Amino acid sequence: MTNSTIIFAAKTILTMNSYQPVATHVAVRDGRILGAGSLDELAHWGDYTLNEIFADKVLVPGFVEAHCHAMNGSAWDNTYVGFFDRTDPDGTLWPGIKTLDGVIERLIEIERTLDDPNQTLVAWGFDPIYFDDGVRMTLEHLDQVSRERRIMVQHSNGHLLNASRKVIELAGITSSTDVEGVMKDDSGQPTGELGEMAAQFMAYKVTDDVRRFDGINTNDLWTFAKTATNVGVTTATDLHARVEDQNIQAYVEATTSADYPLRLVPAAGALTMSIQDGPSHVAQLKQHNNDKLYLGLCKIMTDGSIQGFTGRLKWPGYINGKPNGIWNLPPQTLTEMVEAYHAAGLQMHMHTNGDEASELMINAIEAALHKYPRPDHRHTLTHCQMADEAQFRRMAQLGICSNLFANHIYYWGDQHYSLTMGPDRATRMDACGTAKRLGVPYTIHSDAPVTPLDPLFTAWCAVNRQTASGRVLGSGECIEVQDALYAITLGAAFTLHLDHLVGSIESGKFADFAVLEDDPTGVPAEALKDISVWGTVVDGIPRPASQQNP
Amino acid sequence: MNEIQTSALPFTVLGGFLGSGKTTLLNRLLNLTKETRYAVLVNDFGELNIDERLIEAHDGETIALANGCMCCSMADGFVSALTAVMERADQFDQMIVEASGVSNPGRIMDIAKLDPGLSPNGAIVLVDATQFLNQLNDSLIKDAVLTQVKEADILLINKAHLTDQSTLETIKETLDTQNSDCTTLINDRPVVDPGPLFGSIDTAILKRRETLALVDKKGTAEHDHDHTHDQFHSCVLRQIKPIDRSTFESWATTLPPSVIRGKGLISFTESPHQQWIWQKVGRTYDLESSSGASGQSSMVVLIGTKEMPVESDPVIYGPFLKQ
Repeated sequence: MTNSTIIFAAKTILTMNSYQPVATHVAVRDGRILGAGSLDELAHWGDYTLNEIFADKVLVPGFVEAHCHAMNGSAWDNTYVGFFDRTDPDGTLWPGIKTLDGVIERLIEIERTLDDPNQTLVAWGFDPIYFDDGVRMTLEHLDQVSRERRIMVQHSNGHLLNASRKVIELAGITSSTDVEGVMKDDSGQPTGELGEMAAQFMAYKVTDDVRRFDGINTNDLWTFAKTATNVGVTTATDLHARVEDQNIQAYVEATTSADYPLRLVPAAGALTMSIQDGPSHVAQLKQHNNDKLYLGLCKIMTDGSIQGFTGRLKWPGYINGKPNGIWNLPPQTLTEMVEAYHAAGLQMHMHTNGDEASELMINAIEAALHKYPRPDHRHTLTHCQMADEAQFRRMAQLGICSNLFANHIYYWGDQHYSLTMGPDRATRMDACGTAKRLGVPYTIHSDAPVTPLDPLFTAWCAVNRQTASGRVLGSGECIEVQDALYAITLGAAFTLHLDHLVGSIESGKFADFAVLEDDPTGVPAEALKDISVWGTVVDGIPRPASQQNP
Repeated sequence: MNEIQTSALPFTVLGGFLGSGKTTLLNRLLNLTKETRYAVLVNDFGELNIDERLIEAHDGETIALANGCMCCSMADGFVSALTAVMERADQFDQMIVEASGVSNPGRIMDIAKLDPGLSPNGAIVLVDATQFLNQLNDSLIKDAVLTQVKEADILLINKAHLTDQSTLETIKETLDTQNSDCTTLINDRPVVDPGPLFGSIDTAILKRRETLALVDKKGTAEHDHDHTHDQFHSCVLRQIKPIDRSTFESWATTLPPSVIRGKGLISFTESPHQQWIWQKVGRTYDLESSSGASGQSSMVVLIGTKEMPVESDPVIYGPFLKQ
């Protein structure tokens, strides 16, 4: 053990620690924070080295993202064709493509760079929902890219894809194919757009060189960490992890490297295990934990998504009259699952999009608490997009936390306004204001790669509640910048039971900081998302973002 | 049914809400099968009560049984379980997917409609007679239960002996309103051997029946009773000359609902040297040309409930030789 102390000087330090909210210096020893204050105050710790690389920067606690997925990294193995700007792990900005022609142009460019004619071209992030003319991609469009190559264009919602003529031919899909999910044009010919599992299964079957998502490897975790560093994240979940040995090995291997710049919180997917074996299995995983690895959290999937009309809604349902969504398991089984994991002393994050799903989980937790009383469980409803006030009141009474999908307001707010919820209920989506007012511990998230990992952007969404078209969706639910900063640091750490280790710049905690070019409390609220991130500090070691060395 | 097998693996979906008896049915099937080798995709091994003596090997997500069957857990996801089975499709006679209590069997069956390696063999959906009407009053699950009923080829009202006659009538009426195109069976005691429900008849029985038919041309119901299971009957029909297609089709569409499955190789007068594979599940059937087979003769196997008329009844033998 060394006793060497480094004191970082900064323009400002926002600590998120109430007894010393603002400081100019932070002292670090052995990867942990000794304290924050002025240089004179910190000199009381004895000899130190003064590090002034952040003298003109702002330090805040390293951001904590409580709902994202480590596969975020591997998405960039493929071509991005989304509507919105996105930055890859190397710091390169990929401008959003605003027209279908633009998407085809980008695919043509990429196709030209491929030497092997047998390589499948995969693109991701496509979303025609934003195109003004409502135009859909067809086989003819992809013919312009290649008639011979296997091409798959995955939609951003994860439920649809467009396949090229070659794929459709190999999959044996014709005008006489009569299964749901194979879209056809007016003349009955397949358009290449495929929805539903069966149609997509066939497409994947004939593109066997495409990597299936079958678990995580160490490479993915390094790419993921790189993305995290670029946006100031120092603690992140992998919120639906598969807990086979090879995955656990990857987590251990990455996090035991001193250079690895991220604390990982994988949440075991409870739906991949039996109710009998799952709880003890997850409890045993904790033996692998280290300072950068926190196994033991569980994820329960209940319903689908609201924009996909698969979220479970209470009456009166979807405004366009679509039938109610789906459950991933019978409600009764989900309830039993909650009881089993709760009884085993484990913490759960429950995916609930629709209000009926939230209600089922609140009921399940309440029942489990009656049977197995347990203080400070911090079970968390994640997404929790539609919860109404009565549900938030019950959550407060029962000690349930919420992790609200603030990014949805920007990315799908306009669709929620017109297609899914209607103007009235759309204003109560991802209700940070209500959570705060009623005392429900809350954080906000990106669900990356569903939307980009970038807590300052997520904070901007919660503060401004502006949709992609510029509409303010429910100004009553807007929160203050200070609240949003709390949500992406201590608020998130609280929902992960890690608030004693990370989330604020406070004596004894890990020396994890996000290094910003501006003070988030000093810029207009509309500019929150535009603050540049220099990188992070993890374990007291500066970790520059990729964009520092383009 | 070896003679009329095609290379595609018959693919059956077993659906039904939580507690409807899917696992019990699968247990019986796997424990009793003699000749048919099933590959079964299940949600959870924990619930399967397979006789220990039957288990040959247990390797991660799969269990191999001594009788040639295999169970594959879908814990890693449906697609990876399906792929694991498809890699050794030649080792099995049938694939069965146990749908989760909330899945739509039709969407699972779509895979068999698309994949040339699979042939749709019907969606069997179990209805829990003791719970069905309550389920329709529960807004959380009503839609999932009704979707399953609508997508069924064969509906089996299970646990009927645990409810009263008027409830059973209400259930039948409701099912008929929701799906008038399927065969509805009532199960008033535990299924003895569900093999025939999945279209499997032990070849040995077929062969014995063939011999019997030669000895006793009357082919009475008693014979069925002797040689198949007491809940399901089967019969084999033959014709040595090509059959007129429209006569065949009108026979096929007027078979009584007690005939729940049929499969055969047919030769039509219009193209006497080509044979067609005919397959019936519930009230719908499929005819497709068989690339491998040729010949002028025809043969079908019918499987029905104990209410299925005897094979000397013209409704049953139709364009085939009278037994």
